[in-house]
Amino acid sequence: MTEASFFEEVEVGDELSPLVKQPTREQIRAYAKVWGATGARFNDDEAAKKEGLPGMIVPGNMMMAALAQMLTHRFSQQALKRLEVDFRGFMRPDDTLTCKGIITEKHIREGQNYIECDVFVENERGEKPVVGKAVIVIPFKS
Amino acid sequence: MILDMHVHTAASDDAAATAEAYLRWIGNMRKKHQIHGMVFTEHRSYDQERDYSALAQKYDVLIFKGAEIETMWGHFLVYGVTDGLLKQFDFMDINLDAAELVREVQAQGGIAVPSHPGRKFIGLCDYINSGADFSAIKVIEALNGGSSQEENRRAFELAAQNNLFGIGGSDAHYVSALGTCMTQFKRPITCIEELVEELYSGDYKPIYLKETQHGGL
Repeated sequence: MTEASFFEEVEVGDELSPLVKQPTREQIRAYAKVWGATGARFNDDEAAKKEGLPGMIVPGNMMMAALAQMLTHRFSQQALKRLEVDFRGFMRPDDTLTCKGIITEKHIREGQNYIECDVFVENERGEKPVVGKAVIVIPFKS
Repeated sequence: MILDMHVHTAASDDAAATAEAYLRWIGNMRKKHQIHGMVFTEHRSYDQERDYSALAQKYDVLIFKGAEIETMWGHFLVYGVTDGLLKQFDFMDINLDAAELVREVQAQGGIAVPSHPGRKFIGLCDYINSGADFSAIKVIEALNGGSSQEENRRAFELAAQNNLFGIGGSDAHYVSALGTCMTQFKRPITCIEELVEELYSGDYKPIYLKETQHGGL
């Protein structure tokens, strides 16, 4: 795991410190309320089943926010320039969802130090229901 | 020779990695693992004009082109795409007749391989008992890096029950997923025609990345 935050200290292949989340039904409902999502799938197991789902699910963008949290804790809010993700599978309440990242590119462009990371959310079964890519700009140490 | 048989670049609608990003990543992978090349298998498309030869030479990586297309029996990887196939089949059609596709690809010197067959709805396992004639299928993707353990188990079972050969591919859509599953061939391969020939021979096996560590094979 890398904890370096300066351009010359990070290397392609470095893994970011993971962030573990285990969203409860209450947290999911609270997130959906703030977000303005009134759909059954984020609020009620039985109603979600009527939609053909296995029950309530974790909003994809809730875990996208968790990925952003992992990245901005590791670097800074200003460092994160872009985060794009694909939602590929259901996440259920109380799943152990681990946000992970790995540095895949490192380059200087127009005077700025870019690093690119693959980021993903992995559940306890090794599945990756959220995968994506982040672009970060960090300074030189000196 | 170790090849990742199933890789998507940004030319696929749901992938983020460029071809060159994969090639730079291979430089990082090779510190610990063995990988000689890969096949770009874009969703529902095959770009005849795209030429990777300069990049392949620059990074000392074998690059082949294929396609992943969608049929009534799930998704299929096609190796050895010809002008004739592109004229005969609309690769954008997501309900292609799989039996016809497999036969025609073979007739034109290529091979069609069901991808991630253990996955629900888009894998061959769901259709194997449909009564259709699957006898033209010789090879399946037995190990897929995007599939769950259970889905890969179903694929291995399908191969065992039907005497099919199995390949491995990462199904990478992002750089770091490259090589999670690959295929180890016994003989060197230098062109797509040799790749197709080897696939029919059955002289290979699907492997996980961890099996390719230097000194581990």
